[in-house]
Amino acid sequence: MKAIIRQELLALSRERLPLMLFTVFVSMISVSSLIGFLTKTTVSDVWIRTREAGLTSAPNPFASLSPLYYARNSIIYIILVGTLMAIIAGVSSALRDRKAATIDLILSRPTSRSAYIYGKLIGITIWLSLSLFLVGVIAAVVISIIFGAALPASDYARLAVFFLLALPLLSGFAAIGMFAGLLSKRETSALLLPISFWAFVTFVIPQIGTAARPVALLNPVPLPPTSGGPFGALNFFIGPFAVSEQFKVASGKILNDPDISGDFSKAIISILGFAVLTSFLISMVKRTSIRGVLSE
Amino acid sequence: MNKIFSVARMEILDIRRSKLMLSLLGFFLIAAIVSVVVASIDFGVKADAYKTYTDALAASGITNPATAPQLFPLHLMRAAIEYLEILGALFAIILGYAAIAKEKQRGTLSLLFTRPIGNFTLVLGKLGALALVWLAFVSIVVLATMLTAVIAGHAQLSATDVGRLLLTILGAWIYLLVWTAVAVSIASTSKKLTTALIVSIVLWLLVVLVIPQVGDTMDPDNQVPGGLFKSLQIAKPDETAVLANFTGYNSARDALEISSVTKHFERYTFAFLGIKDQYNQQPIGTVWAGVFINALALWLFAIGTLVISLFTTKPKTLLRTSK
Repeated sequence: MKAIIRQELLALSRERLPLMLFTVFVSMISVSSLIGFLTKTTVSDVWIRTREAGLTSAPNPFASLSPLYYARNSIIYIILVGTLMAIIAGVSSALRDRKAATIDLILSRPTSRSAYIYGKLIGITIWLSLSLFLVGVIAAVVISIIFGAALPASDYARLAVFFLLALPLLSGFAAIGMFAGLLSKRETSALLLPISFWAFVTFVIPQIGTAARPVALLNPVPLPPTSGGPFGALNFFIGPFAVSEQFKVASGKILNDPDISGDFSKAIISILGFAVLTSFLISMVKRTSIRGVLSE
Repeated sequence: MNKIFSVARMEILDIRRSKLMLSLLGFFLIAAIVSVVVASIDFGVKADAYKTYTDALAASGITNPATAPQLFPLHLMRAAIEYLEILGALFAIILGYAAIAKEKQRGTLSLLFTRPIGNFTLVLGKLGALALVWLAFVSIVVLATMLTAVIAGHAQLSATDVGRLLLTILGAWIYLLVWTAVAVSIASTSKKLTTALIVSIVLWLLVVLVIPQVGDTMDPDNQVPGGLFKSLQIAKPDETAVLANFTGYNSARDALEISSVTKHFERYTFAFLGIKDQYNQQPIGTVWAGVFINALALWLFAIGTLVISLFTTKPKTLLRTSK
């Protein structure tokens, strides 16, 4: 299995497509802190102007916010860019040996099907954790520069836990990508099916449970379900499957965001459950499917 | 002309036979219908809550000062339009990509170009077919969601509403054509098809999701739940006066937003459907005057991407990149 993990890491570091998404991911996480800073500064300036003009006596809504506020938008980029990066890494990994027609040779060696599949998944997960470590360091440095001083140790710890929490989410989507890549007969459907699944989980499921509109779901703050009607009950049953919304809840709580409401432990169970279920899912792929001919 | 029709007919036949395409389009239609049902139930819940509130006040002898929630049928379509904005663009990319990719994969291009066909025959036939497919698809989605609004939301449509819907169909059709043309161009010029698909998806991610999200995040009013100015209890004229001091910031935000075709589509459709408050229940002429610039931008994006796809999908390019 070690050889498969090593080979997976080597292949991912050489492939251009996951690297392209990784570049977008790193850029967006870096820029998101800056956007948070610009917005906070502007809002504070708006408040100063309105107060000076005697238009309001309300306190500055941003006065007591922690520096971790600047990391708020990273949540949405992990959901939008990070998960797609993970899916593409998973699909590329699953298709690689099938496209190169080396899969028969690999499986002729004393390697079990599960060692092959899980070796690849572990390899991708290590690659994802290295990526998250890098973006976490960048985010911590950018936020410290914006804040003008080193953050309290507890804030760095919260940032670390936040990026650590992203790992099971991304790993789960990578497993979905692998699942599609191992089963699909065509390269196009191997890419499109997990992306459609991602769209379903990110936009459709949360909408059914909360009545939130798709564009509102691009907000890092999850919307609570509409009170009354069937939404409370629907959200109780469907909510845990809206893993991206659960990630927003858990991350917001970790980052001390005062606008976040929701059950933290339920959110954590949902994210970890997603990672476990998807890794179980790929174990069900049969040897004949893995060796199936790719028609493109 | 007959050759263009032949290519178009073949393309439509291929789409009809593709289970993957039909499943994706079916998935979209169901998601759009579900979104209208959800919006209708949501409105019903709010109306019931208002009635309960009014009854409680009446029992206490107090007149309800709040206005009753009013149903504007076209507002129920908001989420469906947002699905077109996000998922529609993604599916338009997939269809555009598939139109070129399948010819490269099957190795039919060399054979096709041994026939006496012009430089633009193939691309015109394919784009023509895709344009027809999108027109049919958008019309079906709008019709189905409107029927759902009438049945599930007990909405009533006026003749003006039908006019607004036709203009919405037109806007959505142009928007999807833009994304299809983009995918056709990328698939034609890429030697590796997987790269073409992923480059298109990265472009979709940036233009459809990231840029509008950054623009919304930079809006000061979006920073506080319920709106910054409402939380500061500032009236609209004062809000405008205060924001006049931040023209640089607002111009940068606006420039970012208008660089995305998605934002133009959103502004155009939200205005005609009355989702944007200032255009709600306004005559079509007034709305048209307000969103003319967005309509123009949509057309320019469409013309630009279609022209690019015409010149990047020539036989010479296709044969070079399919080796």
